[in-house]
Amino acid sequence: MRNHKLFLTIAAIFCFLMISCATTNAPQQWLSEAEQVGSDGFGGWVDIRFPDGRISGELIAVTEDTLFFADSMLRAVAAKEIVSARVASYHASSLAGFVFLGTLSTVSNGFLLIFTAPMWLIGGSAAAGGRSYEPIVDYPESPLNDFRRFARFPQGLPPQLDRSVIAMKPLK
Amino acid sequence: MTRTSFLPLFIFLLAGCSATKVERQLTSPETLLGYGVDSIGFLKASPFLKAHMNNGNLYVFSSWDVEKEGRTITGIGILLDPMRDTVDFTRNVLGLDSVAILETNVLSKSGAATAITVLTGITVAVTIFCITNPKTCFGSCPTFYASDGDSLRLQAECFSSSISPSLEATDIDALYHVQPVNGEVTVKMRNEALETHVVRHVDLLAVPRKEGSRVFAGTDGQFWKSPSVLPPASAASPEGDCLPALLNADWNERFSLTDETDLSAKETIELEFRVVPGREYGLVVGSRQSLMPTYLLYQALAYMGSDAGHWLAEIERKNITSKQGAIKHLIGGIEIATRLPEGAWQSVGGIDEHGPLAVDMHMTPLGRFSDTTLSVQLRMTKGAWRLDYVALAELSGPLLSVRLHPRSVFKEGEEDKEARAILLDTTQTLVTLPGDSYDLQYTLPGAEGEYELFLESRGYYLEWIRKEWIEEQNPLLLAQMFLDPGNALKRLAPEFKRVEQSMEDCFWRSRYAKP
Repeated sequence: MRNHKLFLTIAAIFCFLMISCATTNAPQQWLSEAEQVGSDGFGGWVDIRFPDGRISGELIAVTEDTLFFADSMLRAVAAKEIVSARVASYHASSLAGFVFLGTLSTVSNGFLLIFTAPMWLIGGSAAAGGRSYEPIVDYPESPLNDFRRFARFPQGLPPQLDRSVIAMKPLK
Repeated sequence: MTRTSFLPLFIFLLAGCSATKVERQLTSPETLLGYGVDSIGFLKASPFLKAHMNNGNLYVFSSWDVEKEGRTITGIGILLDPMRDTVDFTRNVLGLDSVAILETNVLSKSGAATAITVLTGITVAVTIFCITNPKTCFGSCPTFYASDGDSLRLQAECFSSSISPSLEATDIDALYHVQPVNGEVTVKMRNEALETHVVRHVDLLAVPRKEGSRVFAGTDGQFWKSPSVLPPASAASPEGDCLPALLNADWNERFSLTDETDLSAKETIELEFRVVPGREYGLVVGSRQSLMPTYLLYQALAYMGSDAGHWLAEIERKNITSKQGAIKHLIGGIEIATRLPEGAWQSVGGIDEHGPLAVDMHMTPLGRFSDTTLSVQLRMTKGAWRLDYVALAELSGPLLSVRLHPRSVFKEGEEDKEARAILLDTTQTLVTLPGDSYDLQYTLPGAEGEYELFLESRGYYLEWIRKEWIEEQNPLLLAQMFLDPGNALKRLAPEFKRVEQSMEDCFWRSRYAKP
């Protein structure tokens, strides 16, 4: 019974700590891996929250007063209407599995696992949480202008661009 | 599952520690021109160079260079249109004036992955440590905790030498720091090791005393009243002055490391006291063993391996005599000698209470002296003893104690009347397993502060043979420990030196507690 309680406690702590990991609404496999993002010509994934809803898509461009993104078509959002936004530039491989296995591996530490298992649970979960935020920039924590780096057109929307043909990166 | 079978898991974990992150940087062509050709090395750290064109097209160069004039980029890459469809794949020469902005993406090791690497490293190190030093990772003795007025503190470990039924013994430990509360004393008895403890009784011995005086348990079996306690005037050890460590019973201990070639090598400490001629004195020593004797016990059990049961039965049958257990005598206790007027040292007794956990107070009666200076020599095995406190107690006569049985016994917060009944019945024993903890409550016969308290316990314990130990089974080396202990201690010296520095810390962190 005691071991059962211990397992539940560890699982609860693990789940709680994992909740602190950053998430996005990006479709699975939409974001490029870190190693591919250097050769990928598309923008990052942006989640935008308004006072009355949310919307997501590929970040196309950012100007002083407007954020352009695309789902099936190009859309423009006035910066002043945005309550919060998050852009993810690449897919950061999750470390949660490693934290789980690392915690499991402390079984080999004998009774010193009393120290090494919490070390993994707390330190590992913090690391996994930190890892999940590496490709993330959040507004209003950072100015909207910081999103520009992760847009398809970081130089801004080209003036002569045919806006009707712009759509978000297709799923792989 | 053995510890070594975790190694592939560690390798996998380390492989996972190669996670990368991306640092993206935008550089305008004007800025690049300002850097000059020789200062663009930072761009080269990126595997690809992206040139965002004013019309929305994008060049992605996989290999590239800046021409000497610094106004063109030449490289092999692809040209993508604004929809990011491939337009061309060729060698391109690009004028910087047509570029809107340059983008680099530098890959580096994730900081989080570095943290995982560190955690994996620590876990692997602990695992390797436990694989190679199983005797430092586990072990303890029956332990007793009580409040010193501020916090719960380890006050005593009992019958530490009683590792089999035939070695069942009674042990008296001074509760030197215990502070009763409202005439009550609660002693927490714990089993913190992989051991089975068999406890026949745990009583308090309360000895009446006047305020300001102390009572010490003499090595002569009597309790002695002491109206005053004198600190040493000097204390000289091989490493120099060790007086500061010996002045107070505060766990600030004087200790040494073992000899590199012989675990039975001796050392001496010389003390001087100012005394009043004609008065009777006793030497008070607060000490505990180092972990070296514990290591030797575990080493012997490891050599017994799967035959440990047989050998322990031989001890039970008395087929192994005390002479054959001479390794214990070679390590020995703390021998006490006083200097005679003619200068020679005269042995006056010794302390040989086993146990590496709790400091125990012992008083050896020394007698009366005609001089005003008393020189005392402590002789002991190097690295085998930790000295917390040494003082000279003036003795004013023996005292009788009052025996107190536990008034009530609690286990995990609930009263355990059966356990109490067992502890009061000398024909029965209370058996405890790893993680068990009992609170024993005693009521003092009078107002608090008027009694010096001692814990009297009787019983024995059985070490659980660890799986790691069995791998060391070696009858020949076991025989050497019994029959040729002197050479065994020389052979084991370098092996022990390897773990000596870290053993104390590791040992204390390995106490077993139920979650």
